[in-house]
Amino acid sequence: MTTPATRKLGPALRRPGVEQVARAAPSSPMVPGRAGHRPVAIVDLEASALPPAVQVPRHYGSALVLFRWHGVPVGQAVLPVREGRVPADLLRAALEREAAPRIARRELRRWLGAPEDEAVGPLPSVSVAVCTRDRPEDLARCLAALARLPDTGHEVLVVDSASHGDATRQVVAAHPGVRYLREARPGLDRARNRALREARHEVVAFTDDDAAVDAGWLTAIRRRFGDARTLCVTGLTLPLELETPAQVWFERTNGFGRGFDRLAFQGALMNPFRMAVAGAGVNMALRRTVTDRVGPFDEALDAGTPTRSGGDHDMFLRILQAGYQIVYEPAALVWHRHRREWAALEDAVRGYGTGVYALLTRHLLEGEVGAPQLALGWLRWQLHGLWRAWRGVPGAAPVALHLAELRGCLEGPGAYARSRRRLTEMARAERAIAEAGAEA
Amino acid sequence: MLVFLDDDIEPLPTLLATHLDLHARHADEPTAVIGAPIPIRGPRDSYQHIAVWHWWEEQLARMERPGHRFSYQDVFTGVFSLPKGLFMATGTFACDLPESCRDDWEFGIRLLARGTRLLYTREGGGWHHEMRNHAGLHARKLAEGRADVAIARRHPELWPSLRLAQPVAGLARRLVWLAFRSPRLAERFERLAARVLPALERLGARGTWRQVQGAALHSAYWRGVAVELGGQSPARELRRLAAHAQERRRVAPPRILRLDLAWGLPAAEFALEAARPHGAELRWGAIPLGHIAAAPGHERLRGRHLRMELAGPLAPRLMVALALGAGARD
Repeated sequence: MTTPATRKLGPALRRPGVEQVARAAPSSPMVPGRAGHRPVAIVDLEASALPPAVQVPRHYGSALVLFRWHGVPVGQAVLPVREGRVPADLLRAALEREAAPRIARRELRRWLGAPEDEAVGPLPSVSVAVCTRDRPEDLARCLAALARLPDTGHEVLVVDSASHGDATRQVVAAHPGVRYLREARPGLDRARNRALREARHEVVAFTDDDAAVDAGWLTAIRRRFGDARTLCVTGLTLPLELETPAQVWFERTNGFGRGFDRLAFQGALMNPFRMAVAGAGVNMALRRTVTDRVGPFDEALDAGTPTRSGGDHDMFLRILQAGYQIVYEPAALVWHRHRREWAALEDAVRGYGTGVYALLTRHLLEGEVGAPQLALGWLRWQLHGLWRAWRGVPGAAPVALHLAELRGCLEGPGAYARSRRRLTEMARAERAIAEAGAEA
Repeated sequence: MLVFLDDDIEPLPTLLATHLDLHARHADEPTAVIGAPIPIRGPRDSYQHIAVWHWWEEQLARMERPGHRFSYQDVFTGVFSLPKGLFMATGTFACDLPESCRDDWEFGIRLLARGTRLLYTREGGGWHHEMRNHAGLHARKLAEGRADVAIARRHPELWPSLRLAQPVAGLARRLVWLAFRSPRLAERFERLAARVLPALERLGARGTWRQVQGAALHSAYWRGVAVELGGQSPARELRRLAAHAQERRRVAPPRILRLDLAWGLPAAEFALEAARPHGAELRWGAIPLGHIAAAPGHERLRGRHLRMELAGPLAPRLMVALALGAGARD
């Protein structure tokens, strides 16, 4: 579910397309079933050469169309599929409705000889980092997409976060030039910190193992680090597939997209607890100096720990608290494979709730008054959502998702305490081993 | 060549070479070079330090944008170079401004009035070790209020560009009233705010901190304005200054160039470079596009300013004109 912070962003996030996707899926108040569900095709379209019609397999009921203009994403729409085709008149109308002002602006800048994407200052060198755990198939697709990036002198690191077996190492071995790093203990933030330590370049661009980057991703990220205030760049994340009801609902309630306009979030001017509007860890790049400026990722947060998520938003929050800037760049596109199964979606949503309240607990313990304010605001908003779902208000998310998230929220503070305790114990054990070794 | 450096600037190793190189490359006309005072950040900076750092970075980012049109308010003489002859001919720095505040702005006004070319460089800058705390910033705002009045008296044509000419509303308006009617009460409010700010920072209440700090500095600025205006009624004196400024603009209206973009962008840029007007009135054939304002205190227009102006507020009209122009050609 989107956070209240996300809601406050307003029209930029209210994507009519996603509303339509949601309506295409059948909904019971509790859990939407597969009966009557028709998957949504993903169509990636170059609008400067619009085809007469778009063909998709006949089993799709609708299509999420991404419009690009000379390769840069400028808008999206969900359109009905009729007999395996998205009709040309609908495409043209949607293009005009969703992307015309952006296209006009780009064309004007081109005419003026002052392109919108032009960088200020020299471009930084980048290390790409993928943190993974037990998802070799996803990782293979992710690395294949990374291999298609133009050569910018970047390096690719895979941090294996305590995967079982040898499959992850083998997938990496099939990609010469990719550096494999093994973390013996699980924890996404632990793996991210390892990547920040091991990276050789000025900027570390993170993507998830269940995502596939677009060919223009890295170039778009590099261009946005010209401003000294920018410590982080995030990008547009769209669904790789919308085949199951779970994926459709994930896109609707938790989708990572933040619109098609570049945004700069300035910590010195905004409430840093609105950090969720800036993006997500699936598509973020950080200056390596971030650890000196605001500290490393909190290893008590995110996947692989009891808190299950929240590491990326905690980092965004601290960047904004320190007055730095996060730039959202829609040209930095990543495709994310959402969870296919309903149970996995519920589990993920519950994990998001846990993570948010865990990170709020951390900041409450640090004496930030913004933390309880946000926690209460979020709770109020969730209860409102639950009430809407219970009443069967059209467009409301299923009750099961709300309940899962609420459960996660309630678990958050305890999960953070457990996670911190576990970290302390592990550190103590490591110290003891080191001392024993020294004595020996 | 003179290179001015403030004592809180730690010059970059490239500073001198960059300034000399820029002067050598632009020897065709009088030129002054502004180096970037690059603000420094620490890991645990106070809200005050963050706010000041952000302000400086914002100024530098603005000047770095291609096609930036310099104003006297960009002239920071902490890292600054110009030929000695130009410095003397401009009349050196004014030493009689209240507490020597805004002396760089005042010098910039005279430099720009002579048609001097201003250049900005980050490589020719230095690390700026600005250590001002709230009390220091508060004193500075008081001095700025006084200095702005002095500038308004000396250069009335710049009235619209000064902070004291900007309209205020709501709480800000009430604080101006308080600073004019009861400066002692205003000072008490500022002292109270200074005591509250550390507590707000400890609580992490950034938004409230920003509001309280902004109100305190605003009050200090207007107290400074009131001090410099003097007399029984500072408000009346302020209105008199505004009227005088308006009169001055009527006497010496800015030079505006009429440009038709249908001639093509390079031709329009050439015309601007040759005429160096204060402002421009733009059209596309019979379609009016709008104005590039004759902003007081800004450098006169150059060819390089045109494209950025067109990409800004004039963009919607230009798009219409382009579409209609293309339609007419079809």
